[in-house]
Order: sequence, then structure tokens, then C-alpha cells
Amino acid sequence: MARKGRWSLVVRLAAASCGLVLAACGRPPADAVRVGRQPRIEPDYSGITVPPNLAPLNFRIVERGSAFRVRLRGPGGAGFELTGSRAVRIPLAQWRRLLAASRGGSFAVEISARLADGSWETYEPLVNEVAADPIDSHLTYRLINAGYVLWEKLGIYQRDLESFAERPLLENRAVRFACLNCHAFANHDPSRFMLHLRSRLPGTLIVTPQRAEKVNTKTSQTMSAGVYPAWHPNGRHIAYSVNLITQTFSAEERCPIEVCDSASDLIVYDTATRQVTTSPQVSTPARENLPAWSPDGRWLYYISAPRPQDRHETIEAAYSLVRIPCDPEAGTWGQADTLLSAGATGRSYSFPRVSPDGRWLVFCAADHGYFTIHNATSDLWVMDLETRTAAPLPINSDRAESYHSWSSSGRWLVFSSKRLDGRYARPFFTHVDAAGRFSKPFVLPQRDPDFYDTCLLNYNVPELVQGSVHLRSTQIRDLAYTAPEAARFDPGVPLDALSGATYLRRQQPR
Amino acid sequence: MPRLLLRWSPVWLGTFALAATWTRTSVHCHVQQTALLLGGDFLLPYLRYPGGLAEYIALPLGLLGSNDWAGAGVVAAMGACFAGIGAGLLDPSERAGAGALILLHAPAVLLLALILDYLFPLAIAVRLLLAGTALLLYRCRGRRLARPAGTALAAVALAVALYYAAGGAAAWMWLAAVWASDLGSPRSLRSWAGALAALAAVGAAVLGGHRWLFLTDWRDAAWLLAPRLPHFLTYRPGGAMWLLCGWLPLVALAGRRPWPAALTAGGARAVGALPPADRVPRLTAAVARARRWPAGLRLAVGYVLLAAAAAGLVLPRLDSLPRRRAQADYHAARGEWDRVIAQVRGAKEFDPILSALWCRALAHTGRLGEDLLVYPQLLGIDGVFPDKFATGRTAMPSSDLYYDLGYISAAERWACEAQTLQPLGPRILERLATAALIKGDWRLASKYVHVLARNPWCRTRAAALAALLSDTTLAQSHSVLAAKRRQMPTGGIIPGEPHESLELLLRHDPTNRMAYEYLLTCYLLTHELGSFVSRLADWRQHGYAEVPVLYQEAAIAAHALQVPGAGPLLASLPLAPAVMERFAQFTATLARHDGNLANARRELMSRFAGTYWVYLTYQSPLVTKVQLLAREVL
Repeated sequence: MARKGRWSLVVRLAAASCGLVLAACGRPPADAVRVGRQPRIEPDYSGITVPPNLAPLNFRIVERGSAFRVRLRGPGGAGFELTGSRAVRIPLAQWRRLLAASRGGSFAVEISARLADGSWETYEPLVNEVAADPIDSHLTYRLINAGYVLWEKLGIYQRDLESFAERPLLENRAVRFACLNCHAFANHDPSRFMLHLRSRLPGTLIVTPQRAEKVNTKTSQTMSAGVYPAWHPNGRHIAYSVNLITQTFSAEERCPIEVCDSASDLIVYDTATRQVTTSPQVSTPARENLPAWSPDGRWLYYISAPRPQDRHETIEAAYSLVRIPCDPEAGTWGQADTLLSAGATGRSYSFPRVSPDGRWLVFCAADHGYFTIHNATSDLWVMDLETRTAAPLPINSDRAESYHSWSSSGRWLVFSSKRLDGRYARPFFTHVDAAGRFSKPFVLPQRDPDFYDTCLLNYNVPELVQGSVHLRSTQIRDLAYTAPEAARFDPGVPLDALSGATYLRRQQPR
Repeated sequence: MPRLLLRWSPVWLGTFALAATWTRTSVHCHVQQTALLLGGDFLLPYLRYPGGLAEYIALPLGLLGSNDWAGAGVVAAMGACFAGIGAGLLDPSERAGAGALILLHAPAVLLLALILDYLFPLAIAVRLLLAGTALLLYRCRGRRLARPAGTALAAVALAVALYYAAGGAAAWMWLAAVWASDLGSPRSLRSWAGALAALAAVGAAVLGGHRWLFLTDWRDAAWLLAPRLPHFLTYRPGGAMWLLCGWLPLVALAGRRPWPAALTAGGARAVGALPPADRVPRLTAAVARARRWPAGLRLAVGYVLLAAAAAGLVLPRLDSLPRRRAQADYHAARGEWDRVIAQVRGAKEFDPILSALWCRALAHTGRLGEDLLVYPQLLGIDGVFPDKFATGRTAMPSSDLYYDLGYISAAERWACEAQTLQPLGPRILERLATAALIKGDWRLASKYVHVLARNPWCRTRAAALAALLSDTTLAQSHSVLAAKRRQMPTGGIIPGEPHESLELLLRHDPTNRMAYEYLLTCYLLTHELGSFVSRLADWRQHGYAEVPVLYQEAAIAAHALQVPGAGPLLASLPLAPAVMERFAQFTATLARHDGNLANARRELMSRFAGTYWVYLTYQSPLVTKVQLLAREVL
């Protein structure tokens, strides 16, 4: 007993002396020098609006100093402080308490640095707002190297935004190194999604609560299988583009890769009947592409460029922003309505996405083409659909801003941006208030503050989803190995009325 | 054991020496672009599939090979580990015999043979070593566990752990060895329990792991031998590999079966370790005579047999094409152009990658216009530019070529393609960082340097690049970077045709001699003699003291073929009399065969090999219709 007591005393003394040392090293004195500016941190998590359910915003302090103290203070005395190195990793539980206390308000991050001579400097606090609107709990994306023709190792992953947990939905090493791409969810519903496999085990995996199947959406009347998808809000129909895609490379720093189409049309696939349909309105000699539904399901938005006459026109295509009334259940199509004409504005538009309240249309605008992830001139624009006025968003950078996705509430937007280094796309989030104001964007937080300095993978097609996909990864893999069901072309489509690339392709002998 | 170590030391020293002399593990390391980054984020993906741990363990072993002596040590140590495992499995009395000597050192010889083509993944050896260790554990524990249930439990635990750490192939090899070991000896309930439990556990681990746990392909789940990393996808195990795999069950069986006495150390003296006399097979007369040899002589014979086996396995691999390709690429990366030329000259067959390296080496040594056709250009321009197809094999050579030519965007693009296969390959990261430095993209360069610095074996290289980043005026004034900056075209589509790229390079920097020589080469190999004639007119502007022989031959051929502009050019060129004389002989030979090219083929090809006239007449792919094709590897 005496022996045990002695050990206990030793442990207590050791703990107390460690505490004293930490207190001496880790806390700035009251007379610490005030630096009249905010500290630099990476990633830049200052002046942003944060969802109340987001994982900790770990960061690295890019200021001189040998030790640092970080105080996070919310309203009503909520908060905590951390001491240590310049890599700041915030404990999850304390972070959640801080966000809960600051919801609808703001919190401050005060950073102090100890210099080589033992003195301390304290910077002006960074202030971040915490929105009242939570963000969808999961983000789905594809991780892929920066290769442009070759691919070997890639996968589609789902990240829990409330923590740092990431799980693969499907990795291509499990499916004979096939190319995986273009995953899409219906209404942010994790139980209703699709993704393509290309080159090996080709087909489209379509998962609904009723069934999971692999489909070959290529028919004898369409030029390709479905490519760029958009789920109809009814969760039954998927609009696709069908494309003949080519790729060229450029020495132009602002757009090193040109992905362009020599032809493209739109189709709509019915998951219940496995039927593909189209209309002469969206199968014209022009290049219709990148479909997106309005939240009420009555309009199909897409982009359109004139039929190219030569290679130059194929690459330097200028796409207009168009929409067409469409009721896929009744099979009726209206007249196309051009929202923004490329010819009139001198820009090329792509990736239209309508906010869940139907008010805002966010899209990309670049100097040419539609595959904007490689194009540094690509910016995000917003159109007020009530007034039809469009303007660039204030959240753009001088690098490529591209693929974007609304949250189910319409209060958050995630988009791909290459602003960090120019080559690797990262998911950035911005808060959108009721008046259509977009907050300063911030990058997806990671457990390791240095993550983006060493990550050599692109985050492609970030999609916000309301929960974790219910299927196990191994089930999705097994689905990929099933034989694809054949889609059939709608016999009701007047083939002779089609004038688009699909029709022209059909006329050419193979 | 010390005595044993001493007795076998010649084998291990020999393995070490051979490995140091022949295997050149630095080339192995260069080809595989092994990377090991410190940190959990790098380790985690390896833990997500069965066999990943073995691949992770193999990484530092591969990186040690960046130094030839350390690599030889790794190979020798691995061979010694195999021998040690084998010795543990054989009965003690048989450990020092001539037969044991051969059997136990077979893996060392096989390893030497396998590593010679530089593609062998060390992870395979690590998997088999883990399987051997698991077998030793099983045998040791099995002896102590009297109850069949204990043996069965040990078998299950080892099977599952081994499957996870080393993958399916190692687990099956281990299982085969367990069966050979348990059922090779007199059968008992305990041996049946262990063998059946091992079978059930491996089967359940493979099936269950694939069904519920691991996101892997079925083939990988059941049989992962070579790592399923992108750059190993083209690796196909050969006979030596299967021998290495089969060694473990064989030695397990050998440990339980009686041996011919001549193959054991003690021979008849080791009676205590042998089964009853009636179970010993009848010896042949020769073996019976060998039994009477002194133990030292028997051991010497063992050494001779082992050396013969090593020579038989190793020597045929010394001239293999993948080995030559790897060595040439290694020397090219180090700027040892004469060695590249020597490697290509020694090749017995045509290879497009070797051909591309040949052209680069000649361009760097100023001999492209002299010796281009000494290595027959059977694929024409496809043997000069390796980028007709984007594959793992062509990506980095293409990047190297475009970097040399000064087309930095193209070099960068191909380095990105290469990076998909070897994401953290130091050479690739270095290229990407350098390209970013040339373009003045400091942020991107710093990213690659940062990753490079995380690899403990690359910190020196990273520090050199980081120095340029810390003071960007250094990067601006750096002579090599500045030269590349001057050469590189900016803007515009990268042309799909090589001659268009070269024309672009020359428009951007007319003094780019390598681009000029490649352009002439391009025209020569594609029979575009009109373009060649018009470009050759500029020859004096590129610093030539005299017109290279190949260009003289081509100019004469152009004149003979009445290419417009060839006459005036020929009149202005200082042609060597020897070249004129040779052409006269060429035409005379052809005339002797009445102008019949088919009849004159043998004589012309032997007498005028390496001349442009022979290329134009017989070797060009435009004549032979030879094409470079690609096939998908699954």
C-alpha cells in the first residue's frame, strides 16, 4: 500500500511539473505584443461562414514562432484553447460544443506565437460565422490522379462532413481497374444513385430503393451510352447526354487539356422500364449537353453549341444556356428557350444547376468549351430566374471553378476549384443566404492540416448527400460484375424527325 | 548454428557478390520508382486489402536498393532468411548436408534470377517469407500443443493473420506446406486437425474477406501474388517465380520424409534422425558410392551443383530485353549517354523504347546524323517518339524526350500520365516540380517538393529543389531552367504529329539544335524528302562543322529521286567523297541485279547496313508495312 502511495505521489508530482512547464511555455503573458493584423493560416479559414455540423477546421499557422496558443471563443464564454505546434488539430467534441454555442452567431480564433527570444505576439482574432443552416451530412466525390489519358487507380468515396471519416463506395482496383465516373444522386438521397463504369465491366450502376442493377444505356439509335447524368426529382427518370468525346492537349497554361465533343444530344432514361427516349428538340445537329432538371421537374436545363465544321470549332465551342419544358412521365416536350446566348455574351456556359427553391441558377462561364475543370478562365455565375439577370459570383478565383452542387436545403453550395495550386481540384463550400449572397468559400477540412500540400489527387464531381449510402462497398462491387441489362429505345420517338447527331450517326455505315 | 553459419557463409557471400555485381538494384529501384512516405495517411491504404502489409514492408527494402551494395545486402539477407526458414523446417541432423545446401539455397538463386529483369516486385519475396515464418510458428507451436483442438486453433489464427498480411497466394502456399508437413509424416488426429483447420480457415478468410470485408477483385482476394499496383499490372510471373512459390511446400515435405543418406550431412551416422531402415528408399549404385565420399567432398559437390544451377538460371536472364530497356533508361536518367548507346547496341532485337533512347543518346552526343540507322529504325518515327500510345511503358520516356527537346508542357503532360501509375515516384515528382519551376509556378512546384521531401530517401533531391523555391530569383537565373524556359513554346494546342511539334519548337527557338535534328530525322524516317531538303538548307546555322553522313546520304537519295530542290542543295553541300563512292557502289550493286530490289536485298543489306538508302529501300515501315500495335493488359 505504501509502495502504491509512493507511486501515486510521483505521478502527481510529474503531472504537476508538466503542467507548470506547459503553462510556462504555452501561455502568452498579459503584456504580449499585439500584432495589428490577422495571422496567416492555411487553409484559409478566416472570415467564412461555417455549417453548424461541420468537422473541425484544422489548420496550420503560417507565422513565425516556435510555439503557439490558439483560443477559440464563442458567445457566452464558450470556447477552449490549444497550445503546441503550428499544426492545429481541434478536438472534435470541443469543436462541436463551440459550434452549437455559436450557431447563428460567430466565434473568434485568437492566435498567439512565442518567438525565438521567448517573447509572445498576439494577432488580431479571426472571426468566423456559424450558419443556422446545417449542411448535408455527406459529400461524395471521385479521387483521381492528374493523368489525362491513362488512369489506373481511382475510386468514388463518401466523406462524412461531420467528422473526418471517409469510405470508398467503389475503388477501381476491385473492378479490374475500370474507369469510374459521373456518380449522381437523386434529390440528395443516398439510397438512389447511379455511377458509370467504362472500358472494363462497362455499364451504368443504378441503385434505387426498389432495385439495384447494371444497365447498358447504349441503344442502336443513340451515339453512345449515357454520359453526363441528371436525376429527375421524381427519382425515376435520368436525363443523360450522349457524346462523342475527344481530347487534345495544349501548351496554354490556362487550359492545358481540351475535352470537347464532335457531337452530342440528350436522352432521358426511365429506370422503371429501362427505356431511353429523346426528342427532336434535344437531338438537333447542334451539340446539346450537360442536362439538369429544375427542382419542380418541369424544366430540363442544358447547354447547346453549334455543330462544328472543323477541328477548331470542335475545340473552341461556345455553349449557350438553354432550357426546355419536359414531362418525362407524359413524354411531352415543349419549345427550347435560350437563357443566355453564347453568341451575344462571348462566353461559353456549362453545368447549369438550379437551387432547390427554384430561384437561382448557378453555372460555369468560360472563354470556350464545356469541360471547365481544366480551364482557368472558368468562373461560377448565378442567374436570378425571376429576373433572368446573370452575374459572376464574388467567390471566384483566377483558377478554374467548375463542377458545383447545391445542398438539399439550398443554403450551401459545394464546387470544385483549383485555386490552391492550379492543378488539383478541391471541394470548396459557400453559404448562400435567402437574398442570394454567397459567403467566402472554404476548402473541405481535413484531419491533417497539411493534407492539401501533399495530396496529389483531384476531387471530382463533389455531390452533397443527406446520409451515408446504405449499400456496402462490396455490394456495389458485386453489382458491377453483373451482366448489364439492355436499355431499349422508345419506339414512340419519330426517328425521321430527329436531326441531331444521334440521327446522323445512325445514318452512317459502321 | 554458428558452425552452420560458417559452413554456408560462402553461399551467402557469393549471393551478395553476385547481387552486387549483376543485379544492380539501383536500376531495380529506378524502374520501380518505389516511394515510402512517412505517416499514417500513406500506410492506411496498404492496410485496406489482404497482402497490403507485405507490400508496405517491401517498400523500404526496395528503397535500400537505391544503393547497389545495400540492395545486394537485401537480396542476400532475403536469401538467408529463406535458408533459415528452410533449415528450421528440416530435421536438425540434415541441416548441413549437401542436399540441404542445395534445397535451402534455391530461393537465393531464384531471387537473383528474378531480380535481374528489374521488374520483380520484392513484395512477392516478402509474402513468401511471411508464409515461411508462419509455417515455422505453426510447426513450433504444433509440437508444444498436445491437443488437436490447440493445433486447429493455432492453424486458424495463423491462416487468417497470414491471409491478411501476405495475401491469398502466400496463404495457399502456406496451406500447401502445412498439408505437406502434417500429412507427410505419420498421420495422427492432431495433424489432421491442423491441416483441415488450416484449409477451412484459408478458404473462409478468402471467401468471407472478399464477400464482406475487402473491396478487392475476386482474383486478388483469392490469389494475390504480384502487387496490384498500377506499374505491376504488366508483370507476369514466370517459371522461376513458380519454383520460388513451390519451394515452401517442398521443403516442408522434405522435412518430414526420409532423405537419401548421401544427401545428408551425417549420412549413416545420422541414423537416429532417420526413419526405420525399411522405409529408406533403395539407393542407386552411384549414390551408394557417394555415401562413401568424405563429408567435405560431398559439400563441395553441393556447392558446384548450386553454382551450376545459379548459372543456369541467372545467365540466360542477363541479356533479356526488359533488363536492357531498364538499364538503358537508368543510364539515360543519369545522363550516361555512352552507356545508353552501348546497351542499345547490345540488344539482339528491336524495341521501340530502346530505339527512342538510342535517338536521345545520339542527339545528346551529337551523333544523331551519323549513327541513327546503326540501330535499324524498323518502326520509323514510332521508334523515335514513344508517345504513339499512352501506356505505362511509354509515359515517362515520352516525358523525358519532350523535356530534352524543350517542350515543357508536353513533358509535364506525360509526367502526369506517368504519375497515374507511380503516383509518388521520385523521378516523376522531380520532373513535375522542375516543369513547374521552369514555368514559374512556385506554388505547384512547392507542392511536389513537399511530397518528395516526405520520402526519406529523396530529401537531398528535395532540398536542392527547395533551395530554388526559397529564392525564386535563383530559379529564374538557373542556367538549365533558363535554357528550357527559352526553348518552351507557350500557348496553342500540342500537335498530334511529331513533325508539327518540332516545327513549333523551332519557330519558338530557331537555335534549338536537338529539335532541328529530330525534325530532320522525322522527315527522313517518313520519306518526306522535300521537307528534309528545305530544312537541311539551314544546316550551317546549327553549328555543324560538316554535314553529317546520314544527311549527305539522304540528300543524294533525294537528288536521285528527283525531289524538287535537291539538286541545288546537293551542289551547295560539301559532300564527302567516301559517301559519293558508297552511293556509286550501291547503285552499281543494284544494277548488277538488274534493278531488282528483291534480288539485291541480301547483298545491299549486308554491304550498306546503316545507310539511309537501305532504310529507304528495305527497312522503312512504309515499305515493310510494320506497325506498332497496343493491347490492353488486364
